[in-house]
Amino acid sequence: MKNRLRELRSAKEWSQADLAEKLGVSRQTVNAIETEKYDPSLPLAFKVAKLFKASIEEIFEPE
Amino acid sequence: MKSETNPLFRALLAGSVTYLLGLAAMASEFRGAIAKEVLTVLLFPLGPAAIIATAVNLNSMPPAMKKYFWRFTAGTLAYVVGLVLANRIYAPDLRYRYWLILLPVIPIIFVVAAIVRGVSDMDEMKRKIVTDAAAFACLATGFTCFSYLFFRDMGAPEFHAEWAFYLMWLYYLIGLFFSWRRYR
Repeated sequence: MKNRLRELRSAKEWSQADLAEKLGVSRQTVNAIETEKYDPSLPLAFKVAKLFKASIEEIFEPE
Repeated sequence: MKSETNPLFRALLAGSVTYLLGLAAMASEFRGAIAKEVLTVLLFPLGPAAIIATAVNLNSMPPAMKKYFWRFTAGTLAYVVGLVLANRIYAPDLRYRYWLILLPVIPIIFVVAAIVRGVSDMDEMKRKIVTDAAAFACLATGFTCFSYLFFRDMGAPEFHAEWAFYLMWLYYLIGLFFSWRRYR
């Protein structure tokens, strides 16, 4: 699944570790989502969307 | 500048020394002595435990992991006590000897419950890595054991139950490596 997580995180000038802490996951999870190796669970996708004040579809897009 | 030893190096050193002490206790000549049994069964699990505990700073652990760590340690220690007791009390003519041998199984149920709860409390990607590895280990062990029966029927040595346990860990480590590499 494609996503804009890296772009949104960079816009906020957060490191992967900062974002991981805000989402309550490991830095490796954030990295794996950004590199599109791992698709987040629905609850995590909602957390991401809420954090960036966007809808899930605006951040994640099926390939 | 303050120089500090690498925590991983300290962990490896502490764990290896403890493990070697366990090995020395096992090889010692004190046959039947309770000290030997206690040293052997305590030091073997404590070796890897020392490595994990030192490598992972307990204070920086998330609360759920800390809870898991203590549950796991308590269960393992209870298992060790059960093992020593069962070994000390066991006699071939004892009426309840089969039940006695099952004594250490009770804390193992607690350990398994702690592991299952620990896995469900994990970070979601780590949980996926671990469950993928566990699924691989479970299936690979099952199929290897079953396939070995054909070799046994052709004259290979009888299958020992403990082989399945070692195989399962070997496959789990292989699965963990490949699963971890996939999401790296």
